[in-house]
Amino acid sequence: MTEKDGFSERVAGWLDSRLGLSHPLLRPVPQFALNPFYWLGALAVVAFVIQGVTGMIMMLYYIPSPTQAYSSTQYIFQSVSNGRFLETVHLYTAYAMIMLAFMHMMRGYFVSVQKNPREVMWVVGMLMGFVTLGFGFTGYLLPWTVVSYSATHVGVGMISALPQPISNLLNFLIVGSAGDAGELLRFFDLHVVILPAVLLVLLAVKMYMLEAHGVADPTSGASAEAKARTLPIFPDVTVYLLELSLLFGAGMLLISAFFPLNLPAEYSALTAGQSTPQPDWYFLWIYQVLKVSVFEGGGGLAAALSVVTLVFIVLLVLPFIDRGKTRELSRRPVYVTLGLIFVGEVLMLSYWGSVTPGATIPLEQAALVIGGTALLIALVSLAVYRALYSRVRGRLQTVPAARVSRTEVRSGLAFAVLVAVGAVAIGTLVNSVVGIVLSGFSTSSGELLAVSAGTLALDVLGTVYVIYRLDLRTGGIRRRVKAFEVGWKG
Amino acid sequence: MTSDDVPGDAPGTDTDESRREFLKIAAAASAILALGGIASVMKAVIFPSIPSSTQLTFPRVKVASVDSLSIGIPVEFNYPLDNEPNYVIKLGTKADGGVGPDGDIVAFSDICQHLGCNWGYVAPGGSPRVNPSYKAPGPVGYCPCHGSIFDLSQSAKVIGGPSPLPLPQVQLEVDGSGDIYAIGMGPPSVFGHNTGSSNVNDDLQGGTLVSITSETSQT
Repeated sequence: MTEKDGFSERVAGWLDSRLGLSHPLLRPVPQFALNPFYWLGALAVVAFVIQGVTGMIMMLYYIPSPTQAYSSTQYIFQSVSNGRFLETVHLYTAYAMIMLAFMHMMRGYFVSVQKNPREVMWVVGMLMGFVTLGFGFTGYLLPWTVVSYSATHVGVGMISALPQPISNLLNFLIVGSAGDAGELLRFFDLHVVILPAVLLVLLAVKMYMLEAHGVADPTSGASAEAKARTLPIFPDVTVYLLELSLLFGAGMLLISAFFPLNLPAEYSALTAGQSTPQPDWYFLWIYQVLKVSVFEGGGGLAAALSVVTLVFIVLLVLPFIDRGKTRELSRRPVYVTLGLIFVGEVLMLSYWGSVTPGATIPLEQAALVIGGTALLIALVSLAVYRALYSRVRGRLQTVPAARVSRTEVRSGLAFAVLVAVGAVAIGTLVNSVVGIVLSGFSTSSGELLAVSAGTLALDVLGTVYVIYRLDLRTGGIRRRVKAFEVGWKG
Repeated sequence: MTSDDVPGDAPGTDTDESRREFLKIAAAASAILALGGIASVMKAVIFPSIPSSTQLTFPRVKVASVDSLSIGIPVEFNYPLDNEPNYVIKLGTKADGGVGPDGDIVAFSDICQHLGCNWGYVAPGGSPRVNPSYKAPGPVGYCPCHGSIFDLSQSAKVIGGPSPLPLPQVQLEVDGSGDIYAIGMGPPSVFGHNTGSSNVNDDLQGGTLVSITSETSQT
């Protein structure tokens, strides 16, 4: 520092020298990581901070007792300055946190970050995900509205289907023996004290491991030179993260301002008997599984919960199941397809659950839809793999896989869409024929038959047209058919 | 610490070794004690023993009066615990277990035996708000969560939906002045109280019993 430095430089210099800001304390971040997809987890943490701030303000007013929970929530909505906005931001940011955590997990899965040496990071991350869902579950009860109370009690009611020792322990931990008051207080304590503390500890453990292992390299395409280009955590990465966080925060505030919440009615047994409670969207896929007819009635609930628990256990120990060494997308068709099926099923079941509140799903229908979704995704995924990557290992190595032309990608996608539409049309056609055979002809089944047959015909025509156009332009089909033949035989 | 400071504690000397041994034993002993303590607490939580000496009995609580009830309008009351809703309903036709001059006043736990939702009353020929296509063949309880249907004129027999058991019926008694009292619960046990058990004494565990004063003020 010299005499000529201006005031701001002198302040910055003083801060730097006293606080050690530019001291290279943390591992530098590779330049390729300045991409929002690398910071989904960080944004989830930002959402958590927003939750903390808004939650602490609401704690000034909220009273966790069955008689006052609703009225104090109503007070925040109606009388606290910007209280409704506060509640809205808290809820929407919670949604964003769950969504970001899910995206963070799935992105990690598809690029295989969970492989050596980051297996334990994945496990800790999954635990953080469970805690995040726990926030959702415990927070849902607190306003004591008719939906939140009833839905939470369905969740709590499931405890009784578990084996006695486990249900005793869970009852002790989250229900207690002091009726509604004791239960609400436990939910509140979990929501504002215990879960945040657990999450922070897990976060610290995970950040420590991130510091040890660094950001995972891209799966392909980055040269050693590109991987070596790094940026210091301060100021470059810090500024980048601040920008990203502010953008995210501003987005949340805007959405909250435009779509403010309405507080539903207060819980009472009479109002509860007149409305169907549903869990919040992040539990809808579980809700839909529980509604399949085979899981209703004695012992069925325990079976359904076992299925759901198994899904969570598989997610938790995933790095020890998928032990393949390679991280490249093109070389992991099976695991990538399984991941796509998981995402597809979760989305499908959630949507289905949201449109069929309270309705029991017949087993045949559930098997058809769940199995159909899996089959469809598997077929499309494998077809795309064939189209994009078959030549990598096939004998016709005319073009390297990395340089698949744009036309080919486009035609591959067009085919995928046509195959998907065709599969749905065939499924509907078979379904309507079976329906007519089993229960006789009716107007609706006739309509279904006509529509599905028409769609199938159009789909076939479309396919023929695409094939014709492609061959006319590039002769690609002939080449592709050849590649397929070689691929199948090889 | 160096050997110059305290010669006796130099690494590798006998004193040092024995001190280490002592610390190891102390640490192991405390760990065993701590684990034992945790285990005993966990055992008490996971396998609770309910003392039989504190056997509770069902309270006798006023829930309504014959004059105050009109046909098809359910009245809510908590019983036997202070957070467990029930309905007392005058059905208009004679019902199993019914009391009152026409034998048509019945009361049931409002907690569905399937997953613990609150069901709603549907009059004969009516439809629940959540399922307008359903027409009740008689006075029924309809659970909005998963569509369990209970025939209230036949002790809440399950006539539809996934509920594995009928609703627990509240035992009622009418005194000379027309006041209706809840005096007990019939089997099965209320949902959440050792669900599926037929021992109605389970209903009295796990919360605070209603007090007579709070109930009389409510009706």
